[in-house]
Amino acid sequence: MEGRRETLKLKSMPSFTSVGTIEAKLAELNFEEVSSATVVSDGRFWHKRIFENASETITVSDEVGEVIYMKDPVITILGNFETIEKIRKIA
Amino acid sequence: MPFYDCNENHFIENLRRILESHVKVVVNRSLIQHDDSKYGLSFIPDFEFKKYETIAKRRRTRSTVYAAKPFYDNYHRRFHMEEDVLHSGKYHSIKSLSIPYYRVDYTFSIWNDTYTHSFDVLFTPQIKLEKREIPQHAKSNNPNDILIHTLNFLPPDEKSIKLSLPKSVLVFDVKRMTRV
Repeated sequence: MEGRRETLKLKSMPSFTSVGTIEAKLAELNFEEVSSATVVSDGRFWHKRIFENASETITVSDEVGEVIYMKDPVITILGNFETIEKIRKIA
Repeated sequence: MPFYDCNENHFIENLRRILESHVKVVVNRSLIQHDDSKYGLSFIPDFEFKKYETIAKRRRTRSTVYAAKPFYDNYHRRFHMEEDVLHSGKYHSIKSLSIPYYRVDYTFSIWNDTYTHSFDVLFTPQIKLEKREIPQHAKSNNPNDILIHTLNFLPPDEKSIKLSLPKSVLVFDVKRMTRV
């Protein structure tokens, strides 16, 4: 597993799709939620959730609270190229 | 030396570009626990406030928060009676119930420029019924322990307070970062 982690790539992207769609895709890719927390960054509150499978980690941060603009969840991936491409297609 | 504040997306993407250019990079991380009234129950969004609804009530965000029932704040060692003001959106002099948090700072420097991403991770409230002795000022006639709601704050999981980075990135934990 350590060897596989060496080849993992990093990618972060805002998403214009709903968190539900992202969750469904992550479930399809065998990711499970392992942790969550409320995070404050840039004066905004975020519900940060961490999903993992055998070797990859994906963080989905969704803004919470009263916002008048369209929310764009931020997805950060430490994963292989195929996973990044699959997530990029739905984001 | 210029400092550039980044959000999570900017920080990770800047780091990714450096990694793809095969430049070795050291990322510094500092983690400090605070309980300085920065986050009170009045200002937190409904999503977070719902976790406190057993013991606290408010009309809307930024309105005054009152104790919904008597409870003991085990973290701050303080007893609150029903209708006590827990946090006021207007009057900051009122001693309020604050939410502890971790301040997390990530930075890396390249070509004399420093890029930083900072965020706060709130502690999670845990409310449960416990047997406790009521302090004198609570004016209880019952000298025995009573069953009362107790508030504890649990630190966030380690996975929530760190960024997942590749093994090739060296992460150094530091106590404090000084901006020059």
